[in-house]
Amino acid sequence: MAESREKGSQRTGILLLLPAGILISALMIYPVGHMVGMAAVQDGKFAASRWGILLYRDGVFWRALWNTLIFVVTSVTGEMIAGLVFALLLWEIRGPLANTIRGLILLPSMLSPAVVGIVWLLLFYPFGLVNWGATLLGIGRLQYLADPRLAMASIVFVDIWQWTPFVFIFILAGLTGMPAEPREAALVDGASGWQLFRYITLPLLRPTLAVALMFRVIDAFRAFDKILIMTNGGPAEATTILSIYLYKVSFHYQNWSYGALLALVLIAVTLVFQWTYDTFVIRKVA
Amino acid sequence: MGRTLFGHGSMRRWRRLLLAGLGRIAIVVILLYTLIPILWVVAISFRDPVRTMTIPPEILVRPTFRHYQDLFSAVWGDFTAYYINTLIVCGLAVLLSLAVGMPAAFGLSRDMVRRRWSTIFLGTMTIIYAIPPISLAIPFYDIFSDLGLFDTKTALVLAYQSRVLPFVVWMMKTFFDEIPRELDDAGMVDGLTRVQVAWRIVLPLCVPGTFATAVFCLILVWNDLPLALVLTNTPRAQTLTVGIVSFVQENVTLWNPMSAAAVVALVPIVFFVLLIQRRLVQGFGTGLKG
Amino acid sequence: MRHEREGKRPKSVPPDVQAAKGRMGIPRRRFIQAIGGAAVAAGIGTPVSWSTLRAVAYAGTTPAKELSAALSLGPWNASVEYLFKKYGEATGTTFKTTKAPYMEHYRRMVQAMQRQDTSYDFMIIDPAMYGTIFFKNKLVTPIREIDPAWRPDPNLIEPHIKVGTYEGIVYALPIVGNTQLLFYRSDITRAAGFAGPPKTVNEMIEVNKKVTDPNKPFYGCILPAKANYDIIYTSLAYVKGAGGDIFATESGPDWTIRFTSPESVKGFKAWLSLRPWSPPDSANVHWAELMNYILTDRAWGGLTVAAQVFQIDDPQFSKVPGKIDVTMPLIVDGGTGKSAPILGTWSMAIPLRAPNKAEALAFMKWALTAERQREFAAQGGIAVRRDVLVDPTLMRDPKNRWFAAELESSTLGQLRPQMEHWIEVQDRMVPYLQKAFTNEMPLAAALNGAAKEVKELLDRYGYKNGPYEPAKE
Repeated sequence: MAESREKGSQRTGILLLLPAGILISALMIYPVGHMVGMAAVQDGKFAASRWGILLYRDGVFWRALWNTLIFVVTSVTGEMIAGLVFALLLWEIRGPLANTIRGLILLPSMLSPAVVGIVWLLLFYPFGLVNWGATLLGIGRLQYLADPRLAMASIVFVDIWQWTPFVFIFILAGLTGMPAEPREAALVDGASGWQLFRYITLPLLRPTLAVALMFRVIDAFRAFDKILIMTNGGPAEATTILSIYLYKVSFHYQNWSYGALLALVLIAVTLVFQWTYDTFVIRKVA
Repeated sequence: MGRTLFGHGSMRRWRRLLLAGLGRIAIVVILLYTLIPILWVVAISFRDPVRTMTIPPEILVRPTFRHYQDLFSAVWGDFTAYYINTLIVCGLAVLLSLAVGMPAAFGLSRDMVRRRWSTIFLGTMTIIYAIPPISLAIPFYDIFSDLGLFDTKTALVLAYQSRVLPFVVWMMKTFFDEIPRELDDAGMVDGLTRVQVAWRIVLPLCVPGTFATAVFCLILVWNDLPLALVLTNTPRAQTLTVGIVSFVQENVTLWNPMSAAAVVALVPIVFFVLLIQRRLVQGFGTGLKG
Repeated sequence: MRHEREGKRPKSVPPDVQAAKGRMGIPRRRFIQAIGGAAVAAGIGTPVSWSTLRAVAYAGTTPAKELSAALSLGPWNASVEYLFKKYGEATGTTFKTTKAPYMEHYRRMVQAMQRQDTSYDFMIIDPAMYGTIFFKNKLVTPIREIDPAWRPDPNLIEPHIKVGTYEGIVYALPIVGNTQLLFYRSDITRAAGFAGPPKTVNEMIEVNKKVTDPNKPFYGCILPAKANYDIIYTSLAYVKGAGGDIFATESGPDWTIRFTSPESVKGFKAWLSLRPWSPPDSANVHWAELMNYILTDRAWGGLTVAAQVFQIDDPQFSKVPGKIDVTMPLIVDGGTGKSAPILGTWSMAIPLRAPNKAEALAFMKWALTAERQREFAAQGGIAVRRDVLVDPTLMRDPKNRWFAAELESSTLGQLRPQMEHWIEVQDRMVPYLQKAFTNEMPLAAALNGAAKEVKELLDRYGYKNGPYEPAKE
């Protein structure tokens, strides 16, 4: 009885997965295979080894890789912390405006990254709002996007601005769904605020944090429109991350083969990094 | 504020009030930080270029509605068509991904296929989600051109699956995982098949989660640029985001009509999210219980 | 570099073109109008060529044609589309235009041509930046292949045609005569006691010193140095003005690096000497930002392209209407003694597999006649004919005060290297130039670093080049 149910459920299972499977194969495996093919073969010759050597010698690639790692680590960390702080602050407020406030906080994540890039380009102008605020505060005018030292910090800032709400809503949901008993029990036992947070809340939030982190890390590696619009990878390649470099190689130099290889490298780096971050950071922290 | 989170045992009254006050200030600061750029965009959509880049920013400027009028009288391209296209394409893309992704998520959640296959399936999903959209755009361009689907809404709906399907499968699997198997078994004891169990028992419990996933997917595709830009050519299939970046031209960027376009693109999403914000949080909450 | 595709490609004619081909004939009144209009257009000033006759005949005998045009997004589109409209009124031909951002347009056109796409009849491209990939690989049809009797009208400014010529064959005809011009505030220059705009770099430094006020702030001559090739476009004017160049030859066969030669270094130095009076964020300034500085009364001027001219008097964009004037790019002291404006012409080209080549060429020729160019210029377009740029009626309008500079600039117009990998070469050079610009690296070291990377590129792609002279301080 259980046997046949097993078999039956197997068959149903395959049927359930089939439409998705077909869609994936047709729409994605073929293009990806196409990409791998492009990376491996150029002008009818086997090019993978040639690209391997080129990659090793390609200074721009290594700089872009380094920039990408810096970008991802700083922006994702910033988003996670800021999202956590926002969620903790806004979770329990009550009152008629509470829902509206929580809704408004979500706005930056609902804009297209291209639009965000354009808006902040405008804001970072020497005569834009940010500099005006800076002069009011006595900081003086800075070149946010033109100064090679500041440019990366500026785009990280914009990325954090845009994606913190995304993390915020995940954590907010996690907090809402948290069972109340462990916390109440700890309070009865006399736990302090910090202990409560560190040993009860945070571990309970771990699955939420892990999911938010996974999506954010993968997305951060793919960040593209914003940066292209704000600095085009400059000044002096300070903000050239891998996705920008591969765009230039493919679209500007018309070198589709090398571009495809770079894309595959980017994907590999993304997955390795995401696994590492998840295993060693999240599990430690929470 | 902060009472239940941080405990109230060891705190004196004035300290608690201080924390509450600081919390309120923090909230205001956060709101300002979040909203000022957006409010600025709205503000310049009502101005002329010459009044856009001044410091101190001129706050009281007589508004002009010209940019909005121009948008919808097709001075800058057919925004009405863009709007309709975006609604259709995004709606269909999300519906398709739900229709295809939810059964798959259920099958994965209930271990209805061999471990090996489910690992491969989920792994493929992650890999596909990790591909930068511009890298996919070119193979898609080739494929859809060959199929004669270049510059069609169909092509976009299909291409967008690469962005939303992995998201749907991951999220729905997480939600389904939260529903205990005992309910499934109870249903089957009552004579229901697995699929009926899914439809009648598990799914209704996951409505908020499905809802939340659908909204997120909608936002993902509403704002997509690389795929829409590469796969479309005319108002037959172009979307709002393509329309917005068309204001970044050679030698000049037309900030003001562009802001108007951005506002126009944002309004439905904002409206929608504000409306269902609570459901959204609930939705994720039920699925992500610690 | 070509994107090789495995497998066969089914031929496909897009449904829109199909639908257009099936449209019905024209009613009688339009028929006569069409014949009349076409005859007038053909008769005014242009040598009547076989293709024009064919176009006239076509207009009368076949159903209205639809030409499919691919444009990139630019402020000149309004005047170009005006021409489309007028041509439609004259011959009944309609245009289906598609537009895309600059790089996307480039990618789309290259890929469409490589796939032997038949969906476009003609396209407007920027040959100086990326033309060679089309010309060298014959992705577009040479003009003389469609009409062997075609000769350029002597009134068409020669450099504009040269930009669309490769190895002696003309592939693309100019439509928007975009060239380098120095925009500046004539009122401020006069108030500072100068008779006219500065002509040389040293004169510019004098003007800069007088007009710049860091407290307002009001800057002098802006040097745009954003990482999207503006930095090369701008500095090249100075390099060429000093007698230098990027490579030994403009279109080969000798691609030895010359941007490290003493003349080139002199040119770069002249360029950098203007930096102190340029705004502090110049490393992220593009044409759009440069114009914005000038139009909002925050800078004296800068070197940019003629296409920016539409903004200077429009109160929507400009706080200083009527006060901005235009002159030639600066002459480098001790150099060639001549200004060396770099061309940025936009040209019309016909794809290899265009279905309506003759009709497309007919339009192109029609658009380049004196009468049409005059109308084009009146609409704000940038004409490419000498006789239009000196036309007395047009010159009387103060709105067109930039015509004289445009004419001189076009006549002296310089090309950029005609190589397929020009974009990649620029990408190698830009970071180094930016570092030199922001003082992160001394100029000679930057140029030598760039030269090393460019040489590696040249060798990798098989460009013949010899040893180059490293830059010295």
